[in-house]
Amino acid sequence: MTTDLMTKSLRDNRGSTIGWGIVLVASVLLQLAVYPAVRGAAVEFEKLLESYPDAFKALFNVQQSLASGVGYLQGEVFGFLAPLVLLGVAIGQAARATAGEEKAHTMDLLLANPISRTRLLLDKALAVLVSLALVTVSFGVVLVMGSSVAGLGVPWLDLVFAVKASAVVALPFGALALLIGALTGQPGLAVAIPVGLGLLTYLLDALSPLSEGLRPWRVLSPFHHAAVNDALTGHPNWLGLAGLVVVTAILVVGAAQAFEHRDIRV
Amino acid sequence: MNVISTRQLSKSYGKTVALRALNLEVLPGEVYGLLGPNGAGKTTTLRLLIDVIRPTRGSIRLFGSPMSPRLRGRIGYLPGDLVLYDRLTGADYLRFCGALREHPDPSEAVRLAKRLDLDLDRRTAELSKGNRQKLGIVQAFGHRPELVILDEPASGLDPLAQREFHTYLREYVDGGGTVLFSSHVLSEVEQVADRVGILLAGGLVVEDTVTSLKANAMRELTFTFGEEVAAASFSGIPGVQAAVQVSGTEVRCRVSGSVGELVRTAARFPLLNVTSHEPDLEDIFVHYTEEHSDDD
Repeated sequence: MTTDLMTKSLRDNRGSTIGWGIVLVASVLLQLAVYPAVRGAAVEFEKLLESYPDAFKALFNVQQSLASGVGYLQGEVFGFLAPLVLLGVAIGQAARATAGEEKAHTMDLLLANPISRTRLLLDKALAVLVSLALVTVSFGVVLVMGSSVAGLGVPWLDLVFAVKASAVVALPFGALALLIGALTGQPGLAVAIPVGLGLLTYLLDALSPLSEGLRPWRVLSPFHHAAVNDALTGHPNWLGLAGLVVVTAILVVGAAQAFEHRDIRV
Repeated sequence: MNVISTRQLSKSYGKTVALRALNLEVLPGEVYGLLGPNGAGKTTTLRLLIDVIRPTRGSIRLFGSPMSPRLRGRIGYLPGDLVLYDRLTGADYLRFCGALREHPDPSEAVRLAKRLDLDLDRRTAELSKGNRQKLGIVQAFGHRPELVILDEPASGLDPLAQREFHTYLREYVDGGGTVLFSSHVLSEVEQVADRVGILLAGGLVVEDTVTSLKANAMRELTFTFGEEVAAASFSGIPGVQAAVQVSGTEVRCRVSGSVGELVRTAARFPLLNVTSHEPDLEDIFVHYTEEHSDDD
């Protein structure tokens, strides 16, 4: 490992890491601050929600009463906000890992140094992982502390499970961005494809309970295997999460292979 | 053992041939200038050597071995399209390169930067094109490599910096280093290269020392006589390619190799004056370019 390359990549990604981190932490704090008011007006909320179509509720992960701590976190934090930010960090930074340097025309000089292409890619991938871990840990700490203050009544271990599952689901998407960037040298494409797939597979998992036709296909969705809702109730899908880590590793190996054998763009 | 040795090195992009069957040998301790117009394959050759692009056919050996990451530590490189990290200062940049090359000693880089009058404390984003080029040169030599590969090194340098750079290049080679550089500026190649290869449309059309290229090149002799002399009197003399009647008393001959026989013939007439136009690399370059386009 080249610590210099990794620290430089971390520094280059600093803006993205801090920016996304602030968005997530601030939003979580805001949601938690509002929780007592939501609980107080639970009856009215239930009535309002009942009038919404099922598809809408499924889309925003409204599984149970918003008045319960678990239901509130599912709908307001883990349903949309957390995947958006964590996928944002992973995809955004991984897409720029090698493709960003190629697009900026700095790759020729970087590769003129005595490091192999595989090591360069792995060092940069590791930097993305560290950024993702930093955002995840800040998210977890704020969530655990905030939940206890706001009185959500969700065991802290379940919160940790759910945070972990939310971060793991971002891994294969980040690895895919790395692979596409390594294959094409185009950061735009390396963002667009994983974002598109993220959206599609998110919808597939969210809407599959409503449609018999969709249900068999939900195995294709990483969100299905991450099972954040189950994690939040104390039943993380360890096998599913392990599967996502394996897929990530395969994609990273593929990215290294692709990068090792490609012509660097002028 | 040659420092650089390529066999039948070829690179194609789809149907476009960028480089065809290049056999290039660069000897230890020499400055080799790769000369050619834009699009001739110079940058392709250098990028193949540094291993950022891979050959379609053929092979490359550097210091007798195929390219490896470890080998790159013995090489300095300046890309033609030089882009540096905007946020770093020159010193930061050199520190970063030094760490990757496991050569943390910045003394050589600092010395060269001083000679080129480059301020290492400024961020690269604030540097002029010329100063960025200087930093590019400094990083290429900073880790005391055994071989430097430079793509259009003088581009953007002011004449003063250019001269200092050329002096440094000589010192570097005298100290045992080897240089391969590309240029489309003929005067630069003529000034610093020991040997020159002319690359046209992806192929090496000629390769020789600058001295011998010039010696074998066509030169022009113009004779002025005291009476009318026919140009035809000079045709058929060994070495004379063409004799042209400029005016009644003036004849211009193009000659390659020795001019002895021609001058002896001219001396039989009442010769008033001879002017000779020495060939420079430009004439040679233009000659080969024309010859090459005739072939097409």
